[in-house]
Amino acid sequence: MVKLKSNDDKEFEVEEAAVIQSEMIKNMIEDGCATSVIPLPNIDSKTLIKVIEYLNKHINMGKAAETGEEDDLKEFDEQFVNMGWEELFDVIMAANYLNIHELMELCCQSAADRLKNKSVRAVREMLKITNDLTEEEEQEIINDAPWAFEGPEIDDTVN
Amino acid sequence: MDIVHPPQAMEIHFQEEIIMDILTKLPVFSLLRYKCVSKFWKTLICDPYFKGKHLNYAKDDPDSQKLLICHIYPKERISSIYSCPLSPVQLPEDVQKLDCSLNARPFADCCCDGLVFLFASDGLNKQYMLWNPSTRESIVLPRPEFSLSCCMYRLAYDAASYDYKILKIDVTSVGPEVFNEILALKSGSWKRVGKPSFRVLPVSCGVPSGRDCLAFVHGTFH
Repeated sequence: MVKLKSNDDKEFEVEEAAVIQSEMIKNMIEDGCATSVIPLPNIDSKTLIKVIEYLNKHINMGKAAETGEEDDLKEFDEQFVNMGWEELFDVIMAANYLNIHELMELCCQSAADRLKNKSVRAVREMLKITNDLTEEEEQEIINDAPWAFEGPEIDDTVN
Repeated sequence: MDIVHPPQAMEIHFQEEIIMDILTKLPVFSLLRYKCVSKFWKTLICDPYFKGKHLNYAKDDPDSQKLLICHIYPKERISSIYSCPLSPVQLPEDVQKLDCSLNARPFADCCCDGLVFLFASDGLNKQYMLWNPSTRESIVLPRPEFSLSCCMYRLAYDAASYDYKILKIDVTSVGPEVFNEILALKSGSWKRVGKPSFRVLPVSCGVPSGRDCLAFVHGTFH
């Protein structure tokens, strides 16, 4: 078992087979740096619980193909990303920090699916980005491809 | 010695990496719109490295794959070219018609990385064009120096010069001279290439429907 500690000082025990899906922790274990508790200063306990849930479910991913559990995993993944935008972004940050490739792919795909049809204004708000383009610069971009800014599918809501 | 990263700088660094990962998974029409989000997004989306990454991802994405359809109306002597998504999930409105500035009937001759090389001929004049259905951009290309009646064209990406190149293979001349030429897009002009070593007539003619890409390896078409 490997012990992980979130930035709000909560400890979690995870099976080594599950936790080594994180390249970062795998490297720490291989280098002998994971003898006691591994502190994760960038991840809060709420997010860490989600990440561990994913790691535990995907522990036997190689075996899934043999046992016909692929559909089950697919369904789990679909349910897993069914979370709020802020929460999803926290999981992405954690997956990036822990270097869990599959989780990163899953969550970034979900983020992309949610962003795809958003208006420019909605994207700025969702990602807390300040617009630093001048009005002229913006107009120039719009003039290059006005069709990309039109259409009934463009969604101005933030969620 | 412990290396201490300033936490703020690290956060920004992560953000950029994550944003790039997410943007790679977006369709082109979203990216064209999101150039308007901020200076950083504009720079990132226009960056050739990002474009390469996006292309590599899109190649494996069934929703990005396109079908090219050429409608020919022999009586009217016109033709129109469409690009539409292969995936049935996508809206049929996503069908792109080439807004053609060529005078004669355009023919889609070859494709590479989602770009289509077209040419039109009304017997006397030949016109050449490169079309990107995803961005709806098209450019008229210069004419080769030796405009022969029967040529084969191949489009490929040259990773050494970060440029697309079009090879024109002369399949008609029977004399000692062969008029093969290469157009490097960035240079905007055709250049004649080595004559004797490049007689490809028998091989090319053996593959009449050979619209496959020629690989561009170490600066040479193969």
